[in-house]
Amino acid sequence: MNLSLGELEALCRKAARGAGFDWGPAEEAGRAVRRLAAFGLPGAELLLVRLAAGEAEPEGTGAPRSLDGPWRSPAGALCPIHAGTALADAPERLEETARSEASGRGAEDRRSGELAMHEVIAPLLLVPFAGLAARRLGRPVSLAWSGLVAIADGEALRLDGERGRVGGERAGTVRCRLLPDGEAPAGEALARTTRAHPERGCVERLDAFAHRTYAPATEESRARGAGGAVADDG
Amino acid sequence: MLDGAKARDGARDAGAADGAERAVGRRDPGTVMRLARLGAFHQTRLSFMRQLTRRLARERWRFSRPAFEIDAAGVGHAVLTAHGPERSYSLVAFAHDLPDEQRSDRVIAEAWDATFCLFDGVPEPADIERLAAEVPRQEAGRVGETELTLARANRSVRLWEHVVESLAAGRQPETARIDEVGYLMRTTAVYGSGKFGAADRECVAGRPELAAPFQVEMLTVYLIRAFVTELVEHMARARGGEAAVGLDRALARRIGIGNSTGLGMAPFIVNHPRLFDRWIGAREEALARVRSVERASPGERAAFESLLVRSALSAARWHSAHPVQATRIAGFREDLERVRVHLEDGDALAGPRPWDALHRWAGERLGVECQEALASLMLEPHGELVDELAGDMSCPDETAHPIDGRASVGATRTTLESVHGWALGLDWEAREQVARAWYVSAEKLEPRLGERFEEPIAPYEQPLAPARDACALHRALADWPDAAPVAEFLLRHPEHRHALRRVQVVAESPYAEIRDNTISSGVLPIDMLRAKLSFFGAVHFDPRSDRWVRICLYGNAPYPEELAHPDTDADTWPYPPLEADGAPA
Repeated sequence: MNLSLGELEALCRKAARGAGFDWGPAEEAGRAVRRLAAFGLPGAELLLVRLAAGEAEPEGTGAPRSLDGPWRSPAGALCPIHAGTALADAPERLEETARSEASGRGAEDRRSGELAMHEVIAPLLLVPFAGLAARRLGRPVSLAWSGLVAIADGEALRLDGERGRVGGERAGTVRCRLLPDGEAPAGEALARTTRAHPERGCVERLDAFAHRTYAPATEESRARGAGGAVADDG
Repeated sequence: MLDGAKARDGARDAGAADGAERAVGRRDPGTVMRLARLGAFHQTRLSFMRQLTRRLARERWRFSRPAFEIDAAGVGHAVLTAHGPERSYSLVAFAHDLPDEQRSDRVIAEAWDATFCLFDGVPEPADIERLAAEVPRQEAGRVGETELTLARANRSVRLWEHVVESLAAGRQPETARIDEVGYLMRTTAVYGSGKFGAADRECVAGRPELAAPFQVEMLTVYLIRAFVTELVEHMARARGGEAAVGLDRALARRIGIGNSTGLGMAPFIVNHPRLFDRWIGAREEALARVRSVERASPGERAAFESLLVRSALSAARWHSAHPVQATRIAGFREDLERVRVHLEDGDALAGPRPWDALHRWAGERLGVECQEALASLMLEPHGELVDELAGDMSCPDETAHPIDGRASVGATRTTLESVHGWALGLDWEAREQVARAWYVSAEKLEPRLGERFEEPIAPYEQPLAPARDACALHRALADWPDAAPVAEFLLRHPEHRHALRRVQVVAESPYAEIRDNTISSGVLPIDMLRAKLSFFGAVHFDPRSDRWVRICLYGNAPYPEELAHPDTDADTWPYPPLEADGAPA
């Protein structure tokens, strides 16, 4: 299908809400998909992966247990929306890991200068949040998983590795770090686009989630909710 | 916050910070953002329709009609093109023969008298063919990135028939009947910004002619009005043949485009807090600048007094059967007369800071309807102070306000209490405070407002009660230390993320939040509708219930072909001309 990015964002926001996300995270999900789609990346498809996984694991939101790394979820797998918003909310954790690397102190996971996130569903969905973190910090942020590296600076997005892997549904570990000064970002800068082209089946499944946010119509609501069936006498 | 946004806000607040440059500050958001006041707003120089017509005239836009292929039954299509300095935009109109029983203004209708889209450029025959298959179906169809809006309109059955019958018989229609209705067709939806496949606003927002809000929608309606006037003359010729006459131009001017706006628009101003802040902030900044003017010149006073008389004429033509609005219109007319008497002796505007004095006088003696009308009216003689603010009414990244997770719980609490302090004392357990819930119906995917305790809608509630949600956030924050970053709080409480973002928005955008309860038993959604529609430039608000309102757009505006004429007033047309009132019937 050929969707405007605004349509895609609205669809994904409603789908996430329909799948049980609170409104705030649902809004983040919609924006994240839109940002990915603006680079031609399959955000809608991956949100669907996340929403479908949520149905199987109703316990817990998939948020990290704590902002201290490494990030794991008590629910088993990390949700890319909840982990992503935590990353965008607390970007200084990346600075801390970078500092602890420089000083040689800190826990084992920190010594690498990386924030590790374990068992992430649909990891590509983390990328827009890395972009927000990069903007906040004024430095590019790199995410690496399954042979792919995505580097976001808040405006542009670079991707290194096998493009066919962007749709990966799960990553054992995603390694997130600040790009040090002087390190040139690897990979190919992605071109922007103004439309999204998800498969019809994907849109229909998201739509099914979105429909859960709509109240079933009753005769009463028809008459009252929209303002009364005043005859059009104009 | 982002550096770009910071720079912009800095520029915006420069005037407010510099007391030496401006004697009077902006009004307090606690005063302005009450629904009763927002629901009394009037159009201004900054209204989006007036921004458009000023530009069309200033830049000498050209208009053409590449197609008008409509048969004697009124079925077919037409194309009207507006040619600007750099780009052209075309209204593609489809006229239909709609049986009376199918004519409904409700958004759930499935057929209309006319359907439209605004095409980016000049359409080829293949475009027309594609659009003919989609545009008449409206929400059920799909348009694409070359389409900027999708719209439809229904006839005013009464006035349409009268005008066609009169013109067909070689007569002009009666002025009184035109004034009684005000329009030949009313739009029942004008969709833009990516809806149903159309281009996102971001795709065109960088064009100077579309930088101001809602310019594609306003251009669509402006061209619809021109099309409708041509169509009614065409239908009169089809019926009357040689005997038919064209519509007198002075009469045609009085005819605007009606619009029925329902609940669908009310959530917009809640869902776009930063944009709404820009609109209100621009108007408040304009008012502050004008109230700070030390002396009004004789020319400025005369301009104001002339428009005051024309406002009274407009008020005389404003009708509503809605009991609340009818009472207000009657009070408004009386208040306008009080203003006239107040200004009669000539001294009222002769003193220092005359507009501030008038504003204060009105605040003590007049109803809110007239207070806000005067606030709009006193901007009129001071275009040089006001019009530049039009450029600051857009918000390019409305949906992209990232939360600053490093902000402290204490700072969040302070902002929340200063903005929502009025709400913290309310009993949110009381039924009357939460009597209503906003939801979206499965039937037509349209926002509705229901009775929380009488209908099974609570599980489907939309986040359109910012005050209640802020109070819930405030309670949740109570156990957290001031120094904690909100990132920690949000990790534990994703359910408050939406409300917390709004607190951060309103900290930077003082007019972002309505300071009233949007779900109480007494809320009037029409106040929210009017607040938005006044920025479009609408006049003659006529609530048809507490949930939908009928308005008139472009009444008395010059037609496209008249804009280029040097005598044409492309700006103050919302105030009806005095000499036209006694036009021949």
